[in-house]
Amino acid sequence: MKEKIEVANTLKNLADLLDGKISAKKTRLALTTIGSELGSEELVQGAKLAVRENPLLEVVLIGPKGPKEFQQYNTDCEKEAHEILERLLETKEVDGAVTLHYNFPLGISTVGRVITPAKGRAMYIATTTGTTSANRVEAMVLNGILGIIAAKGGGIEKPTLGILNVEGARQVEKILTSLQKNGLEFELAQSIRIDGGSVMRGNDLLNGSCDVMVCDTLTGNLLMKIFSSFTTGGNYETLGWGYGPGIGKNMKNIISIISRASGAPVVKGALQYTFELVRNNLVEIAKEQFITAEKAGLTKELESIKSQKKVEEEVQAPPKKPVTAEITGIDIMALEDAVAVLWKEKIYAETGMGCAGPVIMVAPEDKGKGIDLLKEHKYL
Amino acid sequence: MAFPVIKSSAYALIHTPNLLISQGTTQSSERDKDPNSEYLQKLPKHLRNFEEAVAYPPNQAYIGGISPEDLKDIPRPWYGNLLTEKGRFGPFGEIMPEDEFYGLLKISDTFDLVLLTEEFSKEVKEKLENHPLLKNINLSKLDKYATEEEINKAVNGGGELLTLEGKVVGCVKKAHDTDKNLTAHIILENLVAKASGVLALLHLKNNAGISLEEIDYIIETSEEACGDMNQRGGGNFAKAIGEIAGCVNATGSDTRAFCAAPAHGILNAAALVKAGIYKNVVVVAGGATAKLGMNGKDHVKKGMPVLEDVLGAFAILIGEDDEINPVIRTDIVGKHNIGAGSSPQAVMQGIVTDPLDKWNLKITSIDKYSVEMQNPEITEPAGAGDVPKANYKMIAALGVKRGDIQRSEIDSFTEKHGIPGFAPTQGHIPSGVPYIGHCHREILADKIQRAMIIGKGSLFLARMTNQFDGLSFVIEKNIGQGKEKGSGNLNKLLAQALREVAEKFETE
Repeated sequence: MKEKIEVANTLKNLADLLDGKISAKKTRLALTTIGSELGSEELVQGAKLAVRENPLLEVVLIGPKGPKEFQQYNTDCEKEAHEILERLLETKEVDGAVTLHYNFPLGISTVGRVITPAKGRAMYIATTTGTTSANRVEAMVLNGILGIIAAKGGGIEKPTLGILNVEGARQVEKILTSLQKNGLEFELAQSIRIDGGSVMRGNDLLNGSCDVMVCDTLTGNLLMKIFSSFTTGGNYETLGWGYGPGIGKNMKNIISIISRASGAPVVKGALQYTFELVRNNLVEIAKEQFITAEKAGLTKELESIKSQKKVEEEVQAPPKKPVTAEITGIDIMALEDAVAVLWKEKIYAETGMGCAGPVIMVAPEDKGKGIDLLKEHKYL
Repeated sequence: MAFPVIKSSAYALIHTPNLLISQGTTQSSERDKDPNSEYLQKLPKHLRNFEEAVAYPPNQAYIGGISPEDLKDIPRPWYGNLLTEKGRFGPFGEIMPEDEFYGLLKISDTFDLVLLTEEFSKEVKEKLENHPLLKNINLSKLDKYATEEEINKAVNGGGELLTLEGKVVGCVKKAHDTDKNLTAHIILENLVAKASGVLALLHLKNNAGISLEEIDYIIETSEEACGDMNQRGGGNFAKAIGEIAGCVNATGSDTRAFCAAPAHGILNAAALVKAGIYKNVVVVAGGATAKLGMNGKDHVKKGMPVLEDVLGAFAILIGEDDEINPVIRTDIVGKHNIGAGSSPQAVMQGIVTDPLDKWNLKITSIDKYSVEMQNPEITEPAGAGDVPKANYKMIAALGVKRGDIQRSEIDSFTEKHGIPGFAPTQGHIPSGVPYIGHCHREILADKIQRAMIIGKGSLFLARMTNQFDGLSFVIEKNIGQGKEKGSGNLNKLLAQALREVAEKFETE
């Protein structure tokens, strides 16, 4: 019986190998070792712990001279370290990176992972550093998507999402629910409180009622710090996997963040977290999820938040009539304004994109007067 | 599954100043109003001769003699800067003179409706016997002449004259006594579409280096309608063209969508090939006499030659993946939906940005956009502006809105991703398709990777709907896209088999 199970396990391992789920190829991650409040030895210590536990992980150090067992690029300058890091990622010399104090472009934010104290569960915090959008609700909706991407990158097929009860939570819930109905793959979590719902209270944070906790970045950053250092009094982060990878629509590489207070255990966690994401091809997952979200109506939903545009003086349309005469030659950028000019003069007109470019359509009897008016207003 | 490819293409123009006067709607409407009008009096002095039409830079760009990009270096007006060293034959096809085309009309006529004089028939037969492509088809219809009396009788009975330099060389008879759909005018219009389509198809055979017997299906996409009073527009131009050219193993049908028809046709052809229904499908269209001299009044008024003196025709061969020719990405397709509304933004969004969004492509990911490639020298004097430029501006504006480019980059985008207009204003002829030949050449030469072909139409013209229409597809360098990677698939199967075996061990 025992042999049979062993055979089955070996066969399954072989199958995983063929499917690319596991591989004998090592994953190389870069780790910058400058800028920590705890000194660079603390970060190197984290790297040692990580490779010891994971034989398929290799770490390349960027920073001051470190132990010989690591391949390394030496520098004492933080800026230079980041330049080396970017070069290594670009040339594919490393598959991903863990660093600190790194600036992501607008639109990319990090998704961290913590251990919740009540049940020791892993929970993603979306997001923890970076700026997803200047609009709070838009940012949180996008953070939700980034959270889904990170969770899928961590091997959770259909993550459960909770929305932290901060300002804008209800609006975010509405939009995410609509995206979910239209094809974005996730489930809404339920609060442990008696009245339920997917808007998460403080109790849910401690309990870990969801796989992904969606919040704004500042709150997320705060939570990361609390969850990872509440056992030490604050200046040394001992728990969890760090602030996580920078995720966004146009992300090209996997770069994960730790803080200046992250201790060796968190550095180890961050390397392991990044290792999983590389293996599961996070960049590809991000691309797919954004396409799915787009199909589910993401842009339209986000437009709707922002469409509290100023209403300009509105010209009333004259009564509609059949328009079969074309006026061509009007600049595309001025087309709508030109129609407004005609409407003001009680000429019914529509815009159109004909086979020969943009046109204004009017009734044949109005064409002459329309052209004159447009000439008068310098549209023609 | 692999994508269908653009195997080859052909482009032909026919210089027809006499048909311009007799058949162009601008001229015929004017004649109905006042046969002695100032415009009609002045018109003949503004018509170009064949040599001028051949040396006209946009015409050379159409038949591949030069690249459309070359037009940027030729000062305007182009009609004042002729390319005298270029001949009537180009890499994609030819510019045919009117006399030879009358001969081709006769060859394309299966109902003895085209009558030609003996003198002209002999003359033109000799010319066609020396034509590199037409010499291979059956020219025996030209051995049958009509007498002056027969021609007069036909013309008096409602026939349309065929003239050359003021001299009558023949006529087209009406095909029915009372049927308004078979008048000589309509028969001539349709025979022109048919004969010019035949010319393009023969050039396609030549360019593609295949036998026409290998063609399985023909889709004709012109703007004419053939049929009688009980089924106006019943068709079938496709089969009529294929018959004359010699596509003995093909059948076909007509696709109509105004100017957008070629884009619809190509997409249909690509679908037929991809589905495995046919291996080789031709999309073909001939020219439209009605549009000859359409903006003639403005051209005459501005003292320029009447530039709309050519009929356009093209043929494109779509076939199965050959790992060489550029592919049609049947998965990157844009369309204007009925419910989208007709505003320019809605139309362009449906056609251009929606398909890009689906693949997370930027507006700048497309190297070249082929829109309505109308020659601006024809449209500008008439006040319609530079049509391709207006389209590029709209695409650029959408790009700004999406954040793909900056507002200040609109002009440079237009310059880089646009193409100067070079096609005659023959409705469906300039609509996206004229660039396919050049695009094919540039992709094979690695000058570009990806182009979007856009066809648009103004459907309100038929008074059936106020809708506009548009369709787009992407042509891309063939890098084996869409094909299942062999080993990956094998590994998956093997992994599945191993898991099944593992399960057996576990359950035993």
